[in-house]
Amino acid sequence: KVAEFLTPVLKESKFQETGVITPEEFIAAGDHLVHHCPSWQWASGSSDCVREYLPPDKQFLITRNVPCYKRCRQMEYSGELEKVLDSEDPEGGWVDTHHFQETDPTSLANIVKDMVLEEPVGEPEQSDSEAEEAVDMEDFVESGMLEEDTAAVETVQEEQGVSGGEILSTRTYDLNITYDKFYQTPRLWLFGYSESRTALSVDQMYEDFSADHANKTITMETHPHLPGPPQASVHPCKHASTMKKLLDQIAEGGGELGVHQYLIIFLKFVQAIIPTIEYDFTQNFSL
Amino acid sequence: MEALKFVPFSSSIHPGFWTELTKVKLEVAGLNEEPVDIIGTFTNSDPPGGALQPRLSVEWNAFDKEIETNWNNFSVKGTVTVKNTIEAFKSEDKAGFIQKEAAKIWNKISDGSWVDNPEELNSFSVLMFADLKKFMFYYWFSFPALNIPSSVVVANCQEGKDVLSNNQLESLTRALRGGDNSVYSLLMLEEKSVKIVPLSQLGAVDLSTTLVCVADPASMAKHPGWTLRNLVVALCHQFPSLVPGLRFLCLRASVKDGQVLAGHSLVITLGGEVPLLDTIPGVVGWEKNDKGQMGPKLANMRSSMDPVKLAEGSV
Repeated sequence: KVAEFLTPVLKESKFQETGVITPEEFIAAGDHLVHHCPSWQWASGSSDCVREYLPPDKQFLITRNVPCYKRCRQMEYSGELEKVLDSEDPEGGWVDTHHFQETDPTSLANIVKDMVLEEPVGEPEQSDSEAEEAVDMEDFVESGMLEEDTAAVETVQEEQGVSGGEILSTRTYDLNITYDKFYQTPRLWLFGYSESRTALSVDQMYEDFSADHANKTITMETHPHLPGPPQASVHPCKHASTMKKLLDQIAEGGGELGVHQYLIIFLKFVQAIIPTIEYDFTQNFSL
Repeated sequence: MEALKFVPFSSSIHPGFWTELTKVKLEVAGLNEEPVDIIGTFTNSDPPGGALQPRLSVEWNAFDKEIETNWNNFSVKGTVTVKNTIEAFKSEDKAGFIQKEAAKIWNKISDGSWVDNPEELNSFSVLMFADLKKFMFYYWFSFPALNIPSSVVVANCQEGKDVLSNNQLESLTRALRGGDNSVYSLLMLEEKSVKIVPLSQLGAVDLSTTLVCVADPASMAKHPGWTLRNLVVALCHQFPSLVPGLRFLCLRASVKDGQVLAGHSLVITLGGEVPLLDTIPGVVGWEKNDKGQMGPKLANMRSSMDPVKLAEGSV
């Protein structure tokens, strides 16, 4: 916080030299993303948290309701789909585990359908063991007083084939991209909802982060634009250097990367960290 | 001919909402138990196949006077009633509570004012007890819905791509991204394009080339979501002669590889007979809990909101 406060806003473009971006470049890249990926939108966030170096209506980017059909450990590992983005640095290199895969939500849904049978959705966690807090929610259940709804499709535990219903339970994530003033890069925030639409705990969210990154790359911090408890975020300390390496690779191949494409590339490389969260990103960008 | 069935909303709460609710209860509402206006949102962009249940979300901005929406995110006005004690929460007359909310909707239907403000057909009310010392929130969402006469049925259910041409679908998705994102509108089919006009034009358009367009939170094949429900009741009351044969586009717009797709939207044609509807029909709409029972939900925010717990965790 203090560091962020004391860091001056980056004014001169240093994108090509170091992979960092200015707030203006962040806005340009955000506009490009929103234009090409309709699932992303600008948001203004809480009025208490407005950063004056960004326009009030373009404080951060948001995409909601991103499905996450399975946990990372349920992903079948396939070396053929993998591409090491930074081959010189296997320790800290980003591994794009989805690189060659076409994602097909229906086939995934089918896989999940099978998995639900062998692995019923876990009970919501009851981490508080203190007796005084054990509230019996059954006490609150009302019976007989409320009219039965015959026109509602039963969505809970409906068996496949019965009345054509096939509701499955799936986690969803809201993703935010903020501008990190200290690291001068975009920063990804993740916020997950369980199958029963309650907020996922940190431990539950770790199931959706690749094991290589869960403990070192993801941290819980206060969101710069939103009230509420700390949220999971991909720590931005390596973003600039990763981006710089990608720039160099592209330059070697005779290509050039415009700063407006920053977020599209950024979303591609963070996919290695959250391989099962199926956000949409367009342009098939070849590295 | 099949009975009309709807996929209910499921409530979804961003933790930022609890922070804001705590602030409102402590700093503004105090011991006042009157309903407070809030705004929620829903999306019609879920991937086809019904893997996701339709969701009504309340977030950090629920207490704002207006909230940002966009082409696939629609706002819904609602209220939250925060009781001061757990006993009051428990003993509240749930049937009476939802009846009162539904009566507000019925009043707008019976005086005809809904035609100019159809969004008001769609609302939600939350009954709540906030145990602010323990960071525990007991809440029960209701999505008041009026029962549709059982003689009104589905005559036909198709996919959007079977009714609209590719040109018309393209024109539709273009219009959506630049549109005013109303939940309810009319979709006029032209030769190679579509035109979106307000629902209030219903009496003045050619229904052989016009569909009633409803943003649909559901993603199941065949069944639309809650947003269609009270609209059908309103139409049965106000335009009974138009209802048999009336076509609805339950608009679903998902995104894949940067493209907005709407071909999987449902086109539902109503059939059957419309009886005289001059008194308020039966009311339903309390959300079921995770076990499928009629009961409230509990959000235990202790581990993420209690300063003591947070301090322990940060060492």
